[in-house]
Parts: sequence; C-alpha cells; structure tokens
Amino acid sequence: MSDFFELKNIEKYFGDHHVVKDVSFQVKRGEVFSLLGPSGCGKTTILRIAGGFEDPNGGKIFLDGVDITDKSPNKRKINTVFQNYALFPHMTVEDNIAFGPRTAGLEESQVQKKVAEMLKIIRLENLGDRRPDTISGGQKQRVAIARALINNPKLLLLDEPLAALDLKLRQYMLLELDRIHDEVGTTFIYVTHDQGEAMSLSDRIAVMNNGRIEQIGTPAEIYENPHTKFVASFIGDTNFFDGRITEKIDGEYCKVDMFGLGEFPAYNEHKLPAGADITISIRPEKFRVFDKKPENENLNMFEAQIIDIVYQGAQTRYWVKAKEHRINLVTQHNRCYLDYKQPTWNDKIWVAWHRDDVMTLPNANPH
Amino acid sequence: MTFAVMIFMYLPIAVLIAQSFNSSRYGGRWKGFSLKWYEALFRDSSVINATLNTLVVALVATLVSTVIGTSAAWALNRYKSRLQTSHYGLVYAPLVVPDVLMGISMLLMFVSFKVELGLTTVILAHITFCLSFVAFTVLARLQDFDFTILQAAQDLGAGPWRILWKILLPLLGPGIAAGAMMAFTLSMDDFVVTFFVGGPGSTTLPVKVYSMMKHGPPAIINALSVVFMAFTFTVAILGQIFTRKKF
Amino acid sequence: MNTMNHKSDKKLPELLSTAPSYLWLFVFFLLPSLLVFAIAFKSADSSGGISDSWTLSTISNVLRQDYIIVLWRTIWVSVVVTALCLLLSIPVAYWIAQQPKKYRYWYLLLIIIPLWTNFLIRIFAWRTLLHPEGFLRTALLWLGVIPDDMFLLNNMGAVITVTVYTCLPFAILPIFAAAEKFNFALLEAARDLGASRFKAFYAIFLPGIKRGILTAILVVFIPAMGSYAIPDLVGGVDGELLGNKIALRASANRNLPEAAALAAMLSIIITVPVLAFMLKHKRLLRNIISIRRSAGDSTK
Repeated sequence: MSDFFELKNIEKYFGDHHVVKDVSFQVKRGEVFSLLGPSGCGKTTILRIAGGFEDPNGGKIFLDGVDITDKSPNKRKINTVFQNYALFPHMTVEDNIAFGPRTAGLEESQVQKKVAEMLKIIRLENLGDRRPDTISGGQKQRVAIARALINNPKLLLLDEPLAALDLKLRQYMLLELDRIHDEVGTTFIYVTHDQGEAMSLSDRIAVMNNGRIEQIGTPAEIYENPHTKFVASFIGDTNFFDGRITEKIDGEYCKVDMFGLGEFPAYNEHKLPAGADITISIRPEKFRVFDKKPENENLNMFEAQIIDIVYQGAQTRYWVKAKEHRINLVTQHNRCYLDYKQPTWNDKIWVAWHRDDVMTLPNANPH
Repeated sequence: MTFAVMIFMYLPIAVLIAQSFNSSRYGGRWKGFSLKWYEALFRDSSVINATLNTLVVALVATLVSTVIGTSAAWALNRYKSRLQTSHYGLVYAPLVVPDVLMGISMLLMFVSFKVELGLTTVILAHITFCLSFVAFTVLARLQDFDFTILQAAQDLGAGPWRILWKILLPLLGPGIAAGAMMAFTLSMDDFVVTFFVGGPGSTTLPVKVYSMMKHGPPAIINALSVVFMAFTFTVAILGQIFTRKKF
Repeated sequence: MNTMNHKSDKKLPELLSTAPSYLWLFVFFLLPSLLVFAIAFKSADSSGGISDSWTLSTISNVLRQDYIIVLWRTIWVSVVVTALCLLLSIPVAYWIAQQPKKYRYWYLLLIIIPLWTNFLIRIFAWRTLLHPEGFLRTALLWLGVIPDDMFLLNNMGAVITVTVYTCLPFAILPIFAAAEKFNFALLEAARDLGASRFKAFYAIFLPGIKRGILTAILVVFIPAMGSYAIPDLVGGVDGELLGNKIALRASANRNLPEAAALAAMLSIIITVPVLAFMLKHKRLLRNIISIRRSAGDSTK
C-alpha cells in the first residue's frame, strides 16, 4: 500500500462562499477512503474537484505521482458513480456499461466481452437489454458502478451512492459494494453523510465540517478517539459535560472537575495543561449501572436518578438525572438473569465509568 | 353536462364536413352527395398558390424559430442571472399579447421603417410568435433533463461531439421536434397577424379562406376547410405522438 | 488562479445562447410594442402613411363617443364570455377529474381536438350552422322555439357564442389541472360535517381550484378583448369590437396613427390589470404557458 492519490492544499470558493478550506489528504492504493460530514460541509465539492468537474481555486491534485489538476474529466483515469446514478435513459443497461469502452474506440468484440464480465460482477446478467427506467434503484446503482468500473479507472469516486435507496436495500448494497471492491481491488473514495455506511465500508475516514477536514483515521480511531467536539458528536452518540483540568497526573492522565458531579481522573489525550477549560465526552455504552455503590476504586462514579427507560431489545437505554445534568446511557443484555431486578423509573442508581473511557476535548478548535 | 359540451364542440365541425359533400350551392337543404366542390377547389390556382405560400412561410418560420427558441430554452434553463430574468419576460410576453396587438404593432414598425410588406414580413412576424412557443416547449423538456448525465458521459471519456450525438440529440430531439411541430401548426393556422403584416403576393391559406368567406362561394370553402382540417390534423397528431413519447 | 478570468469564461456561452432570442424579440416584439405608443402621437398623411410631426389630435380623436361605445362593448362582451366559459368549464373539469385515470387523457383529447381545426374554419362552421337557411335555425323554427323573424347570425349573440366556443378548451384545461390535484375526500369530509352538496362544492371545491379558475380567466379574457376575426365574420354591424376598429384603421379605411392609438388603448386596458394580477400570483405565469402549450394552439 502506497499513497497514490493526493489532494494538496485544495481551496474552493463559490462566489464569496469559501466551501473548501485548505484540504489535504492522501489515499493509499486499493483502499476505501470515505469523506464523511453533514450536508454542505464541502465533501461533494472535493469529490467533484477530484473528478475534474470543478476547478479548485488553489492547490494541486496528484494521481500516481502525476499532477492532474488541469486535466478535464474525460482525460483522467478516474471515474465517478453519481448520486442519482445519471444513467443514460435512452440506452439499455448494456449500452450504458459499454459507453466508456466504445468512446475509447475499443473493438466491438472486446467491448461485448468486457460488458459481459461486468454484468457478471454486478450479478445482472439477464437485465442487459433493459432500459434504466424499468429496473429497480439497487439495480440502477449497480449498473452505474459497472459503467464506471469497466474503464479500469485508477480511482473510483462514489457520491452518496446509497442515499436514494431505502434502509433495507441500503444495507444490502453496502455488502454488495464491499464484495465488488474486494473483487476488483480498485481504490474507492466514498462520500457520505451516513456514519454507519462510512464505518462499515471504509479503511479510513476523513470527517469534514464547514469545508475543513476535522480528523482522518480508521473507523475505530474516529469513534474511540475523536479529536474534536464535532467529531465526537457527529459519529455515534455521546454525553458532553463542561469541565476544567485541575491538575495533571503523571503525564498521561489528569484530574478533571465535572462541575457539580465531582472531580475524577481522566485520560488526557491532548496533553492539555492544568487550568484549561475543556469538554468531556463519555459515550452512553461506556457507563455501567449499579443498584448500589460499587466497591471498586478504579471506577469513577456518581449517584443518579432514572427519569426515562427505552427498552430496545438487544439493549436498554436510560435517561438519568444527576444534579442538573441529564445523561444518556446504554446497557447491553448479554446475560439473562431472570431473577435480577431491572432498575425502573425513579430508582436511585450508581453510574460508573473507567478513566480511560473519558474523552477530554479542548474547547477551542485547533484551526 | 360534459356530453352537452361535447355536442357543442363537435356539432359545427360535423355539419361543416357534411356540407362539403352536399351538392347544393348554398348549403342548407341536402341535395345529394357530390365531390364537385373538391374538384372546383383543386382547379382553383389561387388556392394552390396560397397553399404554397403557407408551406413556405411555415417551413422557414419553423426552422428559424426552432433554432432560436431552442437556444433560448437552453439559456433560460442553464443560467440563473439578471439577464435571464429579463430574457424570460421577453420570451413570455408574446404569449399573453392578443394577436391583434401583435399584428398592428409589427405593421406599424414595418411601415415606419419603410419595409415593403410581403412574404418576408409575414415570415418575420411568424418567427416572432412561434419563437416563444418553441422556447417554452423545449424548456419543459429541459426541466425534466438530468444534466449530470452529461458529466457522466464526460467522465466516461466522451468529448463534446460524442456528447452531442449520443446523448443530447437522442434525448432532447423529441422535445425539439415537438416544439417545431407546434411552430409549424401555429404558423399554418395564423390569420390575424398575417392579415396585418401581409402584402400583395403573400396570401396564405387562412387569409385565402377569409377572403373566400367574405366574397367567395360558400360551398368551395366547405371543401377547402375539410382538406385544410385533414392536413392540420395530421400535423397535430404527429405532434402529439412526439410530445407523448418518453424514454 | 484568476477568478475573474474564470467568470468571463462562463459568461460567454450564456451570452451566445441568449443573444438570438433576446435580440430578435427586442427588435420584433418589444420595439414595435413601444412604437405603438409613439405613433399614437402622430397624425396620418394623405398617402395613408405616418406624418413626421407630433400631435395630440389622434388621441383626442379616439376618445370620441363612438369609440368609447365600442370599447365599452368589448369589455362587457369579454366579461360575459369569460363568465360563460367558467360556468361551462367548471362542471366539465369536475366531471373529468373524477373519471378513472386511464380515461381522463382521452376525455381531455376530445376537448383539445376541435382546436386542431383552423380557427377561421371553426368560425366558418358556426356560420354554416347559424345561417338563416342553416341546420340550427331550421331545426329551431320547426320546433317552434324561436319566432320567424329571429336570426341567429350577425348579432352580438353569435359573437358571444362563437367566442365561448373557441375559448372553452382553454378554460377547461387549467381548471381540470387544478381539479385533478384536488383531494375529493375533502368534499366527503364537508358532507360528513353537515354541509349540503351545493355548500360543499361552493365552499370547498371552488376555493380548492382557485388557481385554475384564475388562470382560466386570464387565458379567456385576454384573447376575447383582442378578438377580431369572430366579430368580423359573425358579428354584423352591431357586433363590432375594438379589434375590428383597429383592423379597419389598418387596412380599408387607413389611418395608421389612429389604429396605433386604439391599440395603445387596448394594450393599456389589458396590461395594467393583468400585470397587477400576475405580480400577485407569479406561479400563474407557468400555468398559462403549459395550458397553451398542451392545447397545441393559441387563441387567435
């Protein structure tokens, strides 16, 4: 694996609107790289810049070490799967897929062979002569992918490819995309606003907000170790608390004052100094619930009262109140003690967590 | 109620068609089936002449207004600017102006600039009122058109010519053809504007029908009407087929 | 990266595609429309042309008693025609909208087909029908519905009948388009809440298709105001409208400045209320276009 696609200091303005702000990243050969962020964060613009449909106002694009910044879309070895598929409505599925090779002037027998191969990969062998408006959304999606992949692009760009599909189909297509990627090994850049899609498909994710990349990392890194408040809140559920670092403990850890709840030790990822105002983030599943105060000095804990319970089958979600805080926590039902009394409304419980499961985030953005 | 309205709509036309085969000279009572009015019609050289004029005007007006109207529709659809707001108003306005006003204003302009009235002025006027209809017909098609497929084609390596031939023409062709059909029918049908801006030698079929209605033998007009009707019907049906056809 | 350069790059195709229609309509539509107002301040010369000097006499000429009578007649005929068209088209549109979807298109086609006949021929068909020796008068005389001395042609009644005939499809189409989108369950809800059939129709259905009715009013009223061929062919002497006066002044009894002044009068009368109306209901613009397009004709 080597870096073979690179965006360097890309800037883009639409009029006075600064939509892409100094974005740089490298993609490794064969990887699935996701751009994840809320709508309007600039992720689609970056994809369009990579595809050649928008010119950046600054910065460079490299593919395999070659500067392609000024090349038009039909001259790049990059293909795009468009958000609404953009299939040619007047052509059959086969003709859609064959468009690229025919445009390149490939011999017709070769074209036929390659189209048959692609149809096989997307498992639509018997729909070749159908028109796009007579096939389903998921099938259209696969045709769009085949139409792009048949050109053996060095890089495949996918713009919210599953956004138009319903939930069931989305889950199925996610598996299909994964399978197709394994089969062809092409490098994918995948744009989505859906964290679930990004987490399950990507090798690495770039989380974007407001035209900037907030963090790049593997799904686990992004989830377990977000660098900013935005990343912590955008990916997964979390509880935020205002706090202040009161003292540092042996470099790795610090003591934080969670106003009103007490002072607790916590992992100090960003090496923040004593006295810094911070945001503390603790994910709901990191909490454990006890009916009485647990005898374990490695745990942080406070007392709380249950105000709402949502039973969700595999897990139960609680809303609890501690001082002026409302906290959301989740317990897994991985054991079934029928005689165990589940906590119920208005019960006093103890909420505990481990110091390594606390994320201490700087209040000011690093930008 | 609907039934009564339908009778109201079709009765006059039915009576007209029947009368054209009536051998009685002034209509009214039925005096037996006859094709003599059709014979008389086809012997009348001024009718043939008017037909030729109508076709020349309609063809030229259709050609020019289709090109300009399509270009206008493209601009109106693709660009959102101040210019397009006024452009829209300019293309729209002829649709809500009565023909009498359009005819008299163009006549006044031609007279003021000492342009001789004739086939040329008729054609210029026809292009003007056909243009807006073509533009809006094509515009409706463009609004359903997904422009990302142009990017998709470009992404797949197609250059401008290949995009034009393989994507744009096959997809927008029917819409443009529908606009052209519309222009052709409108031009062929127009009486009022032609009446105002026409001169000697520019008599079109509707103008001919008008003068025959004022002065000529009524029975021949019946026959002429039926022939004319058959022709416009063919064009209109073709137009309908083109507009209905969807990919 | 030069953003200015970029912008002018994008401006060029827009200008190229806008210029032909823009310039054409500017020269052949906007300019003549304004010229009408200028020429209204000229007088006629002896050879039927336009004199060079400016005058107010043409304007004061067209404000004469007999023109005002014609103007007034044109307005009330247009109002009556518009009202009759609404009266006929609302029930028809209501009925078609309630038919099964697959038949609706065919009913609509039946409404549109008469429009495929040339406008003059439709008028002529009515002349044949209303002729003193014609089918309708003979039939009505035989039935004893009309007195012997009543004629159907060459009067105001004929003008109104034929204008309604030519305009009716244009009224039905927009009202149908609105009625098709109307949720008919609302009528049942109204009945359920105690409204009579008439009350439900009047208080729920009519407001529900308001936009269609407004569009219909516009597409009938404007051409009716500018009507020329119909009064000329079936109206007789008492049926003359403003359009006839304009045509007369432009051809047989030539006085172009006076024609211009009359045309200016007509366009002010049409434009001012229409403009006010349209600014209030901007979406109507699009309705009118699609109606006239789907009908495949213009009311001439």
